[in-house]
Amino acid sequence: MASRPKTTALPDLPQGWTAVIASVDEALTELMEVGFVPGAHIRPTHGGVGGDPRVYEVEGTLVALRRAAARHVYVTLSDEGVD
Amino acid sequence: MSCAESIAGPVDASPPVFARHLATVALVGPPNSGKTTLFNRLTGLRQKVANYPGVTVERHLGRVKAAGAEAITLLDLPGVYSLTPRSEDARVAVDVLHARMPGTPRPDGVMLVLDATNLGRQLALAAQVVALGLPTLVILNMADALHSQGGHVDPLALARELGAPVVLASASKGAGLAAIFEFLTSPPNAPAAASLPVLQDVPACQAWARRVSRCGGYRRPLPSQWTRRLDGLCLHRIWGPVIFLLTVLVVFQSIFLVGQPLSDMLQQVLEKLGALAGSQLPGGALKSVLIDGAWNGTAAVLVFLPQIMFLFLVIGILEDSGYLARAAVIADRTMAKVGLNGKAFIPLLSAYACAVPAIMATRTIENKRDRLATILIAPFMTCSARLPVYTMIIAAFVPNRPIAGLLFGSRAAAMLGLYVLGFLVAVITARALKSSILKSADSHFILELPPYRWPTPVSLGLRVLDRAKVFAFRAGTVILLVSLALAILTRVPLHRGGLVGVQDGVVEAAGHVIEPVISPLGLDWRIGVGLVTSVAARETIIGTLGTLNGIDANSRGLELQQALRRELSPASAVALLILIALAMQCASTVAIVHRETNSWRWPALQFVYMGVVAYAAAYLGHFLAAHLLG
Repeated sequence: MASRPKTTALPDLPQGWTAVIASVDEALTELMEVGFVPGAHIRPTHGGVGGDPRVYEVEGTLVALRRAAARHVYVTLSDEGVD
Repeated sequence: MSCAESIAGPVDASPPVFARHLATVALVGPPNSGKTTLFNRLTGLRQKVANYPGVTVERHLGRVKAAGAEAITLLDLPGVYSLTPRSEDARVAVDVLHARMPGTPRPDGVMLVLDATNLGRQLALAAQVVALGLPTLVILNMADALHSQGGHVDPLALARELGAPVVLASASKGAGLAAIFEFLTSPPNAPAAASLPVLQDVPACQAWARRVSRCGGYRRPLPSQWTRRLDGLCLHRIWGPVIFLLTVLVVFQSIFLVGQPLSDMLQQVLEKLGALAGSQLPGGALKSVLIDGAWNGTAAVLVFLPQIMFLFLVIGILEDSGYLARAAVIADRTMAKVGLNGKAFIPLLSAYACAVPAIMATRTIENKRDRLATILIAPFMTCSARLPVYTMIIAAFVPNRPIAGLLFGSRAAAMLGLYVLGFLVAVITARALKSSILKSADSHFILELPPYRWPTPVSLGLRVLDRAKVFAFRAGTVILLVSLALAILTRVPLHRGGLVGVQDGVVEAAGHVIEPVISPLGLDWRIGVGLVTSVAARETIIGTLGTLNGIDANSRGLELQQALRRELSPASAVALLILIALAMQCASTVAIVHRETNSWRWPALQFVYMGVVAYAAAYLGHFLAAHLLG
């Protein structure tokens, strides 16, 4: 059952959920170069104590990000939800 | 958008027009693509490392070691995600590729190394490389891992899209080398891609990369089960930090348990060599200058070589295995508190062995300001050169009393106190720097975590050798010159005729000159001379004090301790310890900071800052100790 897409900032994406990147701040090109581009699938895999920095799996690549950078990424929860 | 038609024929058929030889071939690729492993595989020991002019990026040049291709020079460019000149690394790569780098020949061919297990977004770099219009070979490295993990790619279809030949290879296993040698000896024409995106438009490039990857029949391999399982542990909320601390402990301990004995062995060899050379020289001034001065001074620094090589071996294993990136993630939260980034932690850990390799290891920190801050605080960490000095002074002044039973004595506590002192000053300095001159607004911590891999011995060996060379030649030559200068100065007589010992030389005069400065600390001209000579290297203060008191410091350490007790009050011993802990008394560090920052401004600032901090702290320490110890 497809529900209405819900867009949220990346730090708010719960652990283990899969989402699709909706937008990335244009200024953060270095983030795009490691695969954070609109349309890419993303899933938070590990968060340390306090959840900062957090490790994300983006299209098969593991990338660690501080919350400060992750705030500039918006994601749409995909229908797959929890995996 | 559709894929390129197959009637264009396999690109392999685009024949070399005539057997032109390539002269210079650049290796381009993102970090972690195995580019350097391939470079090592192709060149072996036939490589040279130098800095590009005007920047701190290293230039790796090598000759191909294969029959028929010996004349070809390979250039291992810094790992870059794109040719957009944002970082210093990328700027160097772009400048080299466009023949704008003075002293570096323009490459007439490019080998683009991509990680086959992670092709998708890396293809965006292919668009920029293909657009250069140079004969290009696209190497899909780690093809063995791609296939063993259920991935797939059609090199021919990919080659049609890119308009350049594509080979599957495994640099670590040596697969696919034949096709690489063929490219080198009979290069194809410049590539003609089916279509190219607007290169400045990052999302467009990514979209293009996705299309090319789809047309190339690319299927991403399943994530490695090993990586998944190991990350479950190494990035675990509780186990992660535990493993991290254990790793740090093992690295730290092994430097002393394995590295120290090796250094001691080398010291004996160097002493024997010095004695041997000394016996061949006629006695007198020349021998005194060359052997007792220059050789002993240089040897005092060279003995750290085994420890440094061992340290780089351990760091190399951590880095190549993929753990270092995880460690940086774990350390980041703590490092962020002092305004630094997780990647600074390995250099700072290395600095406990020696600041020189630590400063060389800061290259992994991309953010320039973070890197500078790390370089500036690294010498505050208690390096192994301080240990002999600490040991001697503590043994002379601190009675050995147990504090916590058999585990911990008063001497160990004093030693620990000095470690903590250096660490605290480093932390305070880092905070001060990061909130003032090295403030960076966008210090984003973005770190790709490569899959875990077995480090290859060849790459490890070459890296250790490479770092050892840098240390021995760069630091070694400076030390040799400084030791020689000191040796001559300490032996040049000022008033009495003839060549004499330290007591009557220019350096004694220097000792008297700085005496007014250090007398508030309760230190006399003798210690002044020791401090002046130890500007080259801290541990030389022991030898100098020995010479001044007419005692051989190596064989009769106890007598030297007694002499020290006569010369120094306990409060001034505290001041001396603080000076050794905080002042920049290491010519090798100054030399390496100059090399890594490519300026004299930073090493000068660092030298003055550390000197001022050391003096102020020593003054305070002397004052407090004089009142507390009576």
